[in-house]
Amino acid sequence: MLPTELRPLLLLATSLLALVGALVWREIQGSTVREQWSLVDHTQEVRFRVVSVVAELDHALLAKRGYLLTGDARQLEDYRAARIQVDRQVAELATLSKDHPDQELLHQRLRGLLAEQDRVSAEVIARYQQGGVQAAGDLLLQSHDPARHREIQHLLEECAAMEERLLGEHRAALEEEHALRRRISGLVAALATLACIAALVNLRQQFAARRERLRTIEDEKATLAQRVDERTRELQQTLHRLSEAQAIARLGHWYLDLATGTGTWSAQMHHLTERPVDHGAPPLPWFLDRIHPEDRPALETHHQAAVSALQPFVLRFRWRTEASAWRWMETRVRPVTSAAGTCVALEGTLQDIHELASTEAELRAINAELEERVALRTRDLAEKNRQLEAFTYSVSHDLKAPLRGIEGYGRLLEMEKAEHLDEEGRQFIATIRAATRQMGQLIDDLLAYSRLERRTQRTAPVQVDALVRSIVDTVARDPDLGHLRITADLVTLTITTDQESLAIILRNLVDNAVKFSRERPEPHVGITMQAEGSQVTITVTDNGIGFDDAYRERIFEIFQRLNHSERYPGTGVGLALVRRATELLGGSCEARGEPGRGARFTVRIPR
Amino acid sequence: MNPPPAPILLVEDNPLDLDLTLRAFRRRRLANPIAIARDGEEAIGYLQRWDQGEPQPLLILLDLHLPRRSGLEVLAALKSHPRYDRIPVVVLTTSRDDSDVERAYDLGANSYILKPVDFSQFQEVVERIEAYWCVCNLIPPAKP
Repeated sequence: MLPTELRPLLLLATSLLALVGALVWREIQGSTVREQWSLVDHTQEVRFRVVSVVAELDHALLAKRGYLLTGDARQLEDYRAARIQVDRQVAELATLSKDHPDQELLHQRLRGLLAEQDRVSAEVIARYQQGGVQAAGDLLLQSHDPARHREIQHLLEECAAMEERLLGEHRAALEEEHALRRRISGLVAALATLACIAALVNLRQQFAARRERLRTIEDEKATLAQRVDERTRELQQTLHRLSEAQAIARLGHWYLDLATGTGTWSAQMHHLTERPVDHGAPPLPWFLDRIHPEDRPALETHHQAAVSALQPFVLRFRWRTEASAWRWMETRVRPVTSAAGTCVALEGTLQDIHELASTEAELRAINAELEERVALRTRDLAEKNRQLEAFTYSVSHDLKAPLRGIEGYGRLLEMEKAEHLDEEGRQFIATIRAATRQMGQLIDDLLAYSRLERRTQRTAPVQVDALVRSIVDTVARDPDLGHLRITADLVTLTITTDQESLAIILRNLVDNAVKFSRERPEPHVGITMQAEGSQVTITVTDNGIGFDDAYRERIFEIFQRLNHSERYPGTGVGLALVRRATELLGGSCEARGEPGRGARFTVRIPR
Repeated sequence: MNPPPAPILLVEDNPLDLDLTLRAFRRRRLANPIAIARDGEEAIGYLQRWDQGEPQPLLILLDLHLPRRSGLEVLAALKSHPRYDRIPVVVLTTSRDDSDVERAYDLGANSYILKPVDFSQFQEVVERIEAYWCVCNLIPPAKP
């Protein structure tokens, strides 16, 4: 199938071909006309020859008769010249008419008659010359010469008529052929015209379609142009904003072609470096020479790494301005690679960070000062802490030494000088010793509490159930327990924690439970533990004297005692130790109680 | 006749503690003589006295909180000494501070015992120390 665009061309070519054909046809037709004309000429010539022959014959006859009447030799000459003319004309005629068999027959008869006439005439002339007019006249009368002459004339007319007829036949045939040719050429011309019209119509359509397409393309072009305009405007705006932003940020963009060593600079680069814009981007050494000697090696090292190992970098350096002042600059550099992955260029930004760097330096100085002050305070604090520790140590040692003295001599008094004392005196000494022991215990507990605060936690895997059991066993060995029952419902569990803190919690809880339930009927202390998710819960329950639930928070405060010390000796430090140790392990503790019905302490610590 | 028993060196500055300790030993009817140093300086001075022929102690009871030179300094001097480093040193103190316990053992203390306030308990402690270190425990003969 032909492409649509070529179809009118083909039609046009076809119609042109048809036209050429028609022209050729016309040419052929022209030749037919010429042929017709030649036929007419031919017939005319035949006619002319016939007339000439007839004329010459008449001439010859007249000349002969003249001679015969006058005997004038000139007449005879005329006759002979006319005869020659007749023969020549007849020969010509024969040549003209030899193409037709009927003509050929006519000519044969004509030549016969002429020869007869010539022979008779020659004889007549000869007789005349011998015997005069008489001799000749007889022969002449006998020779039927006039009849022959008429026959000849008739034959010649026949010849001319036949030629006329042939011409008519030729003409008819030619006419017929001409009509046919005209019809064919008309058809061809009509076809060519049709093809031409079709081609024109098609061309018109195509032109229309093309115009339509052209219009669409024009429209699209217009739309595109509009969009390009819009985008260009946007881009210009963006560029403007970028430029503004760069100006505000004092941030320049640069590109360095490694092959040529030349680069391109954004306007801000020129502004930053005070290099006139019309000087263009400088060669690299111009820039490097203005970098502070201390900062230059780092830049060169990074530059090398960026080129050889494709490592981007950010670097701060001092840069000498035209006014020979040092300004802090920061450059961010990124290697640009070729398709083969080698570094062909570097590009990056340059930012004036002088104010920032100055502020940072100030900040660093302030921070350093602050750190120094903090360090100083810390040292002060550490010193105070150390003094406090020393004080605690002294309290422990110095307070307890006299206590031990009071207690010891009291005891010695009891043992060795009892006989010098009455009952009341012995009672006094017992009271002094009890108070002394109580004070010793108080000091010990205080020291334990402060030690708990001071000591560093040491986390390690601890088997909780084994720890509980060992504490229970220790407590159970106390002969003063009487019939108190301790039960432990435990699960095998190892957690990572500070063992000593956990031991302090458990020992104090168990001691507490024992202390307040020991004198109850059927005293019982129960310990249970559960591992739930990320924590372990240990509960110590007793059926002791219990407490008012309103005090469940106060009970954990240091030196808080809910009962009289005569009956339940204590310092009010035990549960405070429990709470503090629990907090140090990152856990929590709570107490629930009811007067006369026991208490329940629950501790939750992370596993 | 048996040679006189080796003494026990008691390093204690507090007169009450010193007296009570001596009384506790006396109540135990201890055969060993008691040598006394009232501060750290005096205790370290014993090193020279032993060099000069004074009998080496069977046991040293050392308080940590002492005037002039501390108990830990005395301990360090004893335990770094080429000849007297094997004499058992029992630290007898009121300090239950972890750092004291650790440093004492690091310096080579053989035992660390707290002084109870209760005299009966104290006496019991003294008796046990004597029973263990002077009766049960064996030490190598003094180095020449």
